[in-house]
Order: sequence, then C-alpha cells, then structure tokens
Amino acid sequence: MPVFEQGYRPYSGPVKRSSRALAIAWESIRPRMRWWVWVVFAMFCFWPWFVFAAVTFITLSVQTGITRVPVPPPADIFRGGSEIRPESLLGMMSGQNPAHVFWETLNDAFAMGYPVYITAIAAAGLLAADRRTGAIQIYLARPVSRRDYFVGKLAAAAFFGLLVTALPACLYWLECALLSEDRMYALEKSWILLSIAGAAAAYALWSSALVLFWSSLLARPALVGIASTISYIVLLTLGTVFRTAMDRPEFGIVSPGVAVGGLVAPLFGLELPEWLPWTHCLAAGLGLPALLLWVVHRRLRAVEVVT
Amino acid sequence: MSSVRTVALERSFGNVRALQGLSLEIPEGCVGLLGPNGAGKSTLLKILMGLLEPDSGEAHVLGIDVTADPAEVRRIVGYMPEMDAYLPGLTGAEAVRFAGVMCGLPSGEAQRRAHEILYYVGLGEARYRRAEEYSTGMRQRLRLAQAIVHDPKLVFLDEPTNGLDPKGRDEILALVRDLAEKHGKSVVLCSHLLPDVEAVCPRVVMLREGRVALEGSVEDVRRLERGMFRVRYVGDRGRFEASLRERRAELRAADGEDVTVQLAEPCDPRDVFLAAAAAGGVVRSLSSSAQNLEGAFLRAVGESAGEAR
Repeated sequence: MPVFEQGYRPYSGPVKRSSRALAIAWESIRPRMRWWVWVVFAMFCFWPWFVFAAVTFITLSVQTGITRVPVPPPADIFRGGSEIRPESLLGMMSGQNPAHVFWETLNDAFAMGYPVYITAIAAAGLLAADRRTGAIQIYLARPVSRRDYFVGKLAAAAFFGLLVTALPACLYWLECALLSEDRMYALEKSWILLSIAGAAAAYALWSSALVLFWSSLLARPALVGIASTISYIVLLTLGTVFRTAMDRPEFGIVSPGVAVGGLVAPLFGLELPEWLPWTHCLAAGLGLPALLLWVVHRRLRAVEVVT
Repeated sequence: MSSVRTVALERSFGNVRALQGLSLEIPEGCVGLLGPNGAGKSTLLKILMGLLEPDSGEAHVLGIDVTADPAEVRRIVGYMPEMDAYLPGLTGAEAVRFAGVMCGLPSGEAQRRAHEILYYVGLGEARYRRAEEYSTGMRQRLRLAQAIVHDPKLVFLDEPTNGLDPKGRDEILALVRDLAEKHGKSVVLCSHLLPDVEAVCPRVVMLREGRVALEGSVEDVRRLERGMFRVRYVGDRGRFEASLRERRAELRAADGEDVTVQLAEPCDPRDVFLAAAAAGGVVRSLSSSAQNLEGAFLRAVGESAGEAR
C-alpha cells in the first residue's frame, strides 16, 4: 500500500529511554556538513600538517642523512610562540622522540586560533540559532534532559575543533608510521595517538566552551563568531604582551596557547619550564572553559523558563 | 481516566501570581483551553509538560505526576508550540524524523513514520524541502507532524491556527478533529480563537487570573447563554430584580441602565416585559446575548474585570 494511503498509523513498537546526547550532536553536525565555507577553511587549517607531511616525504625520499638534531628546551618553545622547526621533524624521523613535534604543531595550530575560528564559523549557531528559530522547543517538549541537550551541543561544537587538530595529527602520524625506517615505529609510538587524542580534546573543549558561551548569550550566529574570535585574540594579545613586551613570562598563561599547551605538554613527555607550573596551566586551561560551560548550563535553564 | 488533573496549583513569578490554586479536571477527548492573555494558559501548559515546577499543588497528566516524572509525561504527550520551531538546515522529513528520535523512536521507525505523518498532515509533496522555505501554513503543519510523530496519547496544541488563511485553518481543524475522533487522541486545544474551539472541542475550560472561570461542555455553555438577554431598564432595579425572581429569572449583571437577565427555560422574553411592568419600570430595549462561546467567554472575562475593579 502506498505510504500516502496509510493515513495515521498507531505505533506500539519499542521506545528508547537512553540518552539522546549523541543524536542531538549528530543532528547538529549533519546539516553543517553541507556548508562549504567551513570545509574550505578547515582545509586551510591543515596547512602546517601538509608542510610537515611534504617535508617528511621529501626528506625520506632523498635520504639527506640529517639525523639527530637537538630538541629545543621547553622554555624556549613556550617563549618562542609559534615557530615551526623543520629540524625537529628531521630529528624525529631518525628515531628521536617525535612526540614534541606533534605537540608543537598542535599547539601552534591552536595558538594561531584555528580550532577557535573553525568552531566559531561552524558551530556559532548551535545554541543561538536554536533560540532564534524556536528549535529549543523541539527539544524541551520531548523527553530530553537539559544534560542531554548540553552534552549533545558540546559534542557537536567539539567535533569541529577535533577536526582541525586530531584528524590531521593522526593522518600525519600514519604517514610517519608508513614511511618510517623503523619497522617498530607504529607499535612503539602508538602512545602518541593517545596523546594526540587527549591534547586535541583539551583544545576542542577550550574552543567549544568559548563559542558556546557566546552562542548562549547572543542571538545571531554572525555575532557569536565575531565575539568568539575577538575574545580569543584579546587573550592571545594579552599573553603575548606579558611574555614579550613586559618580560613577565609567568603571566603569559593568560594566552590560551600557553595555558592549554602547558596543560597537555606532559602527555607528550615534555617538561614545563619552571616559570610555568602545571597546576597553573590546569587552572587556566581547564578552569576557564569549565566556568564558561557552567554559564552556558545556567543560561539553558533560563531559556527553558522563558520559552 | 482524566487526561489532566490539577489540584490547588500555584505558581508565581515575582509578585505576579500566574496560577492561583488552580484545580481542574480535563477529561479524555478534545477540550478547548481558553483565556485572555495572562490568564495562566502558558504557565499551566509548561507545568503540565514538566518545564516549570509549581510552587505548590499537584499536576497529573494521564495519571502521571508531572513533578515526579516529567520525562515520562513528555514521552506520552505531544506538544505543538505556538511560536515557530524548526531546526535550520533540515528538510521537513528530517525535522519530523528527528522529533521522533528525540521521543525515543528507533531511527528507522522514526524515518518511516516521518514520511507517513507528513503525508497525513498534507506535506507529503514538500517533505524534502527545507523547513525555512515553508510558508506559515506549512510550518504549522510541520509542527503538528512533529507533535504526533511518536503517536502520543495526549496532544497539547498551542494556537494551532495562528496566522492561517480560512482554508488552511479549516484543514488544520479537520486534522485535529480526525485525531480526536478517529484515532482516539486526547487533545487540549489552547486558543483565543473561539470559533476554532467551538468547531472541534465538545468541552471547554476557561481560565482567568490563574483560576477556572468556566468549565463544561460547549452545549452547556451555549445553553447558559441561550436564556441571556441584554435589557435597558428604566425604573427601580431592586423591584425589577424581585419581580424577575418571581418568574424564575435572574439579574446577572448591571451597568447603568443596562442589565443582563438570565431567563429560565423555555426562555420567553415576554417575562422580561411582564416583570418590568410589575416593578413599575419600563424596558427601553431588549436583545438576545450572542448564543455562542464568545458570549460566555466575554462574560466570564468581563465579570473578572468587574471583580477586579
């Protein structure tokens, strides 16, 4: 019987009672996958990894013979900001601990704001558009808890941050594993994948918290994107001013790149400089996003009552 | 079993008491919920959906305590909001499927039902168009489809015909009637458009200032109105009232020379003239009150305003 002749059909089948967070996340991501603007920008964000991938391939193809190159001390890395050092890469391929290259590139991408920008472009409307189009009522009038909604939206926002951090890093690791002279590279360095996952999650959480915070306050996605970008740049500038112009590196923790970078550095086996205690990184790298997400959670409650 | 039961429900927002000890029982079937702005309809709906907690009192929907298990209430209830509600970027079919998934339907079943329901509400041909491209009437239908995709036992419809042309309005009301009569759904139709409520609901509940102003079947309410006359009377009102009482009639409201008189069945207006003559007064004019829900509604609201003054 054709569908249109069936009229209204009663339903007596099973009903799921599990969390809807994943369904909410997926339905928030899926329509955005049809846009092309953020996809183009995401490809642009991959450029440091493309450079590394190309250099790795060429180096190994021509067998330059460059082997161990000293890894710069962590203090210099943090002080230096976002310099990419090809010699570190070449050192990695000779069997030197390569983890810092992944950390450095991930952190450089974050310091340049790629995860923040991509999240601001793709996920600015996650909460703002729901309020503007009344879609929030679609969730609230159904057996969806505030926690499901919150977790679903956070996961959707984090997806875009992960896309420009974890994905290229993992692909680069795969290239290294495939091209490595060391047959045991993949096995011995598999822990780096976990480090990449942990670091990418921290970067994505920070970016998502910032964008969701503005998205819960502003109604227009364009304004959310602008506010997120500006607030990120302000923090970044403050950190840079403290670190360089004022020569107070310890206050550089205001900069998201230093705070989150320091937080995840131990995952890659890196030691932090004395002026950058890990507890401070924990407070700045996780404390700020936690505070922003708490505000988002509170705002959801207010929206429920008003809607 | 009643579909909705509240006992001494109280809810305040600051100094404003939205619900003032509201006790009502809405039976199964199609019931109209009427009331002017600020009467407490939206607050009541939010409490019934478990979105707001009452300050005190009880609220049960289909026998479930809404404060104890709001998720279960939302699982068996469908809600069509008054305002626009669509997920940007989704087609009609995707939006309805998603609403089904949110209610706990397995993904495949939600997909199947989304297509069926969209045909049912008359959006079959437009189901692959994005919701933001829909006209007002189509969005109303989409909201109705989202409200019933999971086959709820009770549906709350908040102003379902808002912004529709007469044809679209009739079609939506026909759907609501079909849901209630053919498919056994209980429907609470929240509206300020009284003809809509009259067209589909055999029962009405009128709220004012957070309390029930009038409750009963539409027929009962109409019957109340049937013996109602507006009279312009010149003379001693006390004697006129006593004279009316002797004829089993009642003076219900007065505003200067204008009074409202309720006559007992079989409602012979000559009783008014006879009562006036017996009281030594004169009837300058006499007209029948509107014999519809609107008359009862306006009277209920008017009495409320009078009390407030």
